[in-house]
Amino acid sequence: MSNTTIVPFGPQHPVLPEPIHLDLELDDERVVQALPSIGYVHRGLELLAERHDFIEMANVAERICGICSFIHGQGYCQGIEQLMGVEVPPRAVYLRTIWGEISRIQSHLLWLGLSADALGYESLFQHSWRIREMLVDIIEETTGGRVIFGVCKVGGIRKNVDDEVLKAVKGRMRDIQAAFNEIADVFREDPTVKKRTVGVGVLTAEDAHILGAVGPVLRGSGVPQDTRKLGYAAFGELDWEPVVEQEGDCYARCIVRVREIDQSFDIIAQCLDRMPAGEVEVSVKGKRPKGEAMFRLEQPRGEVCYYISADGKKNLERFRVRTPTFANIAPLVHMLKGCELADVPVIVLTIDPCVSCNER
Amino acid sequence: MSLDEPFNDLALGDWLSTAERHRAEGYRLVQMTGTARPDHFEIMISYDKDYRCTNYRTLLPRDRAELPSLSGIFPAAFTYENELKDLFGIAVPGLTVDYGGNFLRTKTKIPFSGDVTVKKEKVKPAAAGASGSEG
Amino acid sequence: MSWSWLPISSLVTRSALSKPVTRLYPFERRTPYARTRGHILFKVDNCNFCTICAHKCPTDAIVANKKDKTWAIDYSLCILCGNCVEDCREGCITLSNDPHPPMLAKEIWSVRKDYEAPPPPESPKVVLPGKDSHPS
Repeated sequence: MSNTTIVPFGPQHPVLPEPIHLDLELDDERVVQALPSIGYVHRGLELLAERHDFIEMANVAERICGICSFIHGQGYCQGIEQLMGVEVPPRAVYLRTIWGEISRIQSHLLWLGLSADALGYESLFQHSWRIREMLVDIIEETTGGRVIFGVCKVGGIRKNVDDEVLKAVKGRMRDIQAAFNEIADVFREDPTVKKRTVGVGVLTAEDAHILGAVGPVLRGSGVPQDTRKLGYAAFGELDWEPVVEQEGDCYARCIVRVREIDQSFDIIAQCLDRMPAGEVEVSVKGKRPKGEAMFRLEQPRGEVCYYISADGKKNLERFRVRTPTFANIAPLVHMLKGCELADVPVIVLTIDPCVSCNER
Repeated sequence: MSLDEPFNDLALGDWLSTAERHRAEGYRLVQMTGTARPDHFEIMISYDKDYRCTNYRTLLPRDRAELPSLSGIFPAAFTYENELKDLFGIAVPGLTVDYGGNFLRTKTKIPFSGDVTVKKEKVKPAAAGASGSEG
Repeated sequence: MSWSWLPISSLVTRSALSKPVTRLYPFERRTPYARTRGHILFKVDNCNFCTICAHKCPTDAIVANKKDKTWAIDYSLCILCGNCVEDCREGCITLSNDPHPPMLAKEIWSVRKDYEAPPPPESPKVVLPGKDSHPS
């Protein structure tokens, strides 16, 4: 038996303000084993679905997470619409796609900023968040909310966005993309970033697949899996390919996110070009969801699974969300084995943990 | 998207062998979850390969809620199984990392294990105090 | 040193020379967008206390009472979903795009509609002299 020490890591602000706790078993400076524990803020939202009207529940679903709020709302509404057999008008579908991608960009920028901060690169952090602020302004202008969009509802979206506004958004998106490209090169090539991330926390493609990694963690390991390829919302009609990096280290995961931001700008531009005219909602009055379905969406952090079971009543029988961070805990534990203590924050950060959204 | 991916019923005895087969065929464990029904628990599991999900459902009797652990086959299963344990009170023999019911620190132990019945919430709107003079 | 410090240093130089992108918040405020969901406003004049808004409110932030003609909203519970605005048939509820000022305590705004002019008192019957009179 070697001489190991146990170092507690978290739950108060481990790298980013998320309540995750890791017990790190250390042999000198090397991590032998890591034991994660979560559940500090478990809210029992899934149980709430059994007590609330399914229409009102869309508001709750959106509050599962503060960063990917829109995609949770979209996922919930899509699921209910599917169970009711409601076809959402194409304009609503495209607007949903745009908002989903804007929230992906702002989430990735938030993460890039935080990761720069964790590496000790303050000015890069400030610049990432400066650019993110421009996107949040667009979100506020088109939806009315900054964090909780509150535009998705069962049957479509709440309020149409005028074509003039969309046109202005298109021009501004181009400016934001140009501003982003300036800092993207820093993430790609800066020696400060590279020194802390290249070769750290390597996850091979086989391990990533078996451990059930999702999102940028999986794609950073060279597995081209992106749930958007299922073609939900408008993704089936758009021209894009999943971003893949082969190395599987922290740097690769960072680059996947940088490239995904670029891709999302491209997807938004495509959506704006093809924006159909017409209605944005259909009435779902008197309809009730019936049946059960398991369906998946791609969030900024990876694949999210929803399971909805309904029996035609006002309340759902069961609503279950498997958030991407939950699936990424097992790969995280695997990556932490054998790394240096000083690298632990960087590795924890690169799975982009959203523990609060984990604890529905 | 998903309505063509139904839940196949699976006998509890085939739980482990199905997992082994999927692992050998290169499937990925997507998720595991449970639902509490009046007389049994439903455990649902999904495997994915090439964007196609294969879902299975197995039933556990309430008086003997025991699910053999898949964490030896899919290491990622330990989070889901600890969750089942903490939310539904299902025993999972053979867990590789067993938190003993402390993975999720919920205030009420095994909060999801109750029957799926709609409990009437106490209606006590906060603004009621404001309109004061009523009554 | 690689070339990579060039983009960040040019960025840093540029932001050092230009004016800050941040605002001195309490003194300098951005005008809210037309669609910004700020807070709920209510005009009691047309309200007929149908209480639809209170029923549609997902968080029970609105309480309306038909008997007392009172309407109250708890701003700390309101999630600005806008259901009440859409469903108000009289157009009494509107959504202001000025964000609600920070709350130091739970703020409940309650409105009471003044009683309409009380129904005219029954005019005293003119009692004709000489005849038997009943008070009612």
